[in-house]
Amino acid sequence: MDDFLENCRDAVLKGDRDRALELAGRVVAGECDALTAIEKGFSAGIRAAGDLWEKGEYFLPELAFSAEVMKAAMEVIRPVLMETEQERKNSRTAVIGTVQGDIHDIGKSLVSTLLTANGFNVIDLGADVPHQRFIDEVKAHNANLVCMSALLTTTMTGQSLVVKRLADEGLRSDVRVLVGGAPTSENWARQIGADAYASDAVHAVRVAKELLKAS
Amino acid sequence: MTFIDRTRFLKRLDEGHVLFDGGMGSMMIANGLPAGSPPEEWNRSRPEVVRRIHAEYVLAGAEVITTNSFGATPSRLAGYGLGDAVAELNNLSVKLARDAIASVVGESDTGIGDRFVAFSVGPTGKMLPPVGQATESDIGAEFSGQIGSLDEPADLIMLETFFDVREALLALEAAKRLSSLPVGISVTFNKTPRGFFTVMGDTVPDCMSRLVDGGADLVGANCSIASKDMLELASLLRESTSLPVLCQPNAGNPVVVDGVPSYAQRPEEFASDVAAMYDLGINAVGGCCGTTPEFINHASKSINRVN
Repeated sequence: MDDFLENCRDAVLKGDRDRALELAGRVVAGECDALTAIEKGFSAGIRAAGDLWEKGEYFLPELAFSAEVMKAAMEVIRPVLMETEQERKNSRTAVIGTVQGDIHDIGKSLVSTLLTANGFNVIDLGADVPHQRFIDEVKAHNANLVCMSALLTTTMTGQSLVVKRLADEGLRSDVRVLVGGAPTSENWARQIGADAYASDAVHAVRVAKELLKAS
Repeated sequence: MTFIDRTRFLKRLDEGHVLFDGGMGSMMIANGLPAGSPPEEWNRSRPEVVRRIHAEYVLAGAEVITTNSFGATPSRLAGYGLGDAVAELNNLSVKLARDAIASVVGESDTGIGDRFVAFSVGPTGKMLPPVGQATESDIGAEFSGQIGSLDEPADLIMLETFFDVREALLALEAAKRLSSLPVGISVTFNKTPRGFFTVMGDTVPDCMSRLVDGGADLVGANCSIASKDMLELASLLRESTSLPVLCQPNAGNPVVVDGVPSYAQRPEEFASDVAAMYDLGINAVGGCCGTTPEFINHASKSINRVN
């Protein structure tokens, strides 16, 4: 059993898609409990990739491969998962994008991929997202998390506008707001009335989970 | 059209201690650029502000003025409904820089005295696999659209803030194909526990040798790190190539004061690090995000001390 989970972890960490799909197939066939395989196997691989990123041993391409493999495995397992009560209880929908005027996509896409890999239902709006679109998508998907990235001092104020607009539309208490991007900080998140700041993609997933646990 | 001596900038670069200007975006915010507006649109709607910022840098001692065209690729502008303004906004950016310099230095043979105009081109925002789905021809077409639109006389093309060396090479290829101007290219490196890498994992020597092979006239690093780390990176850059090297650090990390983003570093500290870069054999320096005419003025003074 432990070997099986270790194998799942390693397939994601190494970006080995074929092996991950084969293992996911065995999960569906009942060889391993689906939630255990995800939490202790595949997700552990993503976490390990994140650790290597922080150490400067993995870079964007390696993280992208690991995240893609994780997503592919999740697709295979999802039908089994949907049958479990746990999945409904854990339903977490995040609307994510880089704010208007800012085309920086990397950090945001990474957060998006890692959130998906961690079982979030992610609505990725891309980069250069008009402020109102965040509001519209929160409504459309009944989201409980908004993640905004801004890499420029010229655009970070857009995060503040979106937070204000969520409040104006009476949505603020329904969603948690997470901000990130090079010029942002804890202090900035506090000042604009966001719930939290994350320093990188791995951190963002950790914070997102905590925010939704608390709500 | 003004005659451009294409070797003028390269000759100046040979002499060393060239001073570029500093940040543009942070200066535009200070002048009221609203959140989420494309800075390049001001070339048309607020030309007096763009000209004034350039002129402040000229007065501060910058020899190279970088145009307000960093994000003026066809697809980015189209995202703002400015798809038909690619040629207009890019050419205006060069004209405004030239006009600003001329307004300070007065009549001269070159039109801009001993100063230079660098036409700025940034990344497209499209990502190649495995991170994104863009193809090399998608990205190449963006650079061709922007650089190919240029009629106004610049002194060099400055490709800046590239974090994927493959995209940098596509920009370089377009610049060499569509223009006979000298081409500078700078890459954004992050400091990891294992040293300096691009976010894609490319090392400093690898990036530099690929850009040299691609035909760059000037190579270097900008953005993301402040002057202390840039100084450390500068010696790596210098060891990696015999081409002229440019370093443009940020002004420390942004902090937020009363809801307005600003940068914490003092200009004196920036200037002393910049002088140390020249000591390492770096040919040209300037500032990136958060640096202001005050930073460049301090740098200018510290360079005169070096000279």
